[in-house]
Amino acid sequence: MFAAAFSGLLLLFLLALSRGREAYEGFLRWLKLPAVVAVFAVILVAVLYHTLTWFRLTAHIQVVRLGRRVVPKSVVITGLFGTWVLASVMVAYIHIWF
Amino acid sequence: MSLGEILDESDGREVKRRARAAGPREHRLRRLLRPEPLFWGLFSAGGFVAAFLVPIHVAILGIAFAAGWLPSRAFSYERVQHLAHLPLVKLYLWGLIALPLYHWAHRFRFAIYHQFGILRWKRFIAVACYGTAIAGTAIAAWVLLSI
Repeated sequence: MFAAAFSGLLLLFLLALSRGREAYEGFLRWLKLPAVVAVFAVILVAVLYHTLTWFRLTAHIQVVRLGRRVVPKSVVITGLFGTWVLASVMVAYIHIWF
Repeated sequence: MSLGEILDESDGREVKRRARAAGPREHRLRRLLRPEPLFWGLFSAGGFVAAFLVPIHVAILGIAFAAGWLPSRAFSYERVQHLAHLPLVKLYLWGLIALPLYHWAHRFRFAIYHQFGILRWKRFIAVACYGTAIAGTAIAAWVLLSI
């Protein structure tokens, strides 16, 4: 539900962008309001919880085999989190500095 | 009641209804063409996007920007316009916006059924949930194409 809320907010961001500079700058100002930041903070906590449980669940339902041996769940979860951190860094780079 | 017990109870009701309706070939064919697997697949993809990509986007757009941790040109109009014009970026943003909507739709539809216990109007609820996700997808495409 919170991820879908973020979808809506991202859509508003893009809508402001498509409407021209003034609409965009107005949206950026709206982003700085404390109430809006609080909403984003709640969404962040919710999606991080989703990430934790999603990776845990994936490790349970997806059996990874190397030859005849099975990779233990903790290793799968670590692998998933590692890839997640990597992907987040890549997204952050493009989003902020590219 | 635990989630397992809730699911078992409502599954028990479903199975009884389906056993009664088993019948002619045409009916069986229509059951094969049900859209459930598609929406479940979209639910899965949406969950993956929500788990993998959404956190960093929320952190950047929602928190880091307001806290002033970003360089000033990060969200400058020109730079964001330039990025948003790239087709690959448009495709990425479309997926980032649309897929979690299907995750919500599928999960919310079954939350209404299993957790709130609303066992009637099943088709209406399903259409309302997936319809919202589809509408969101269309709106996202329209906005992205108009940037």
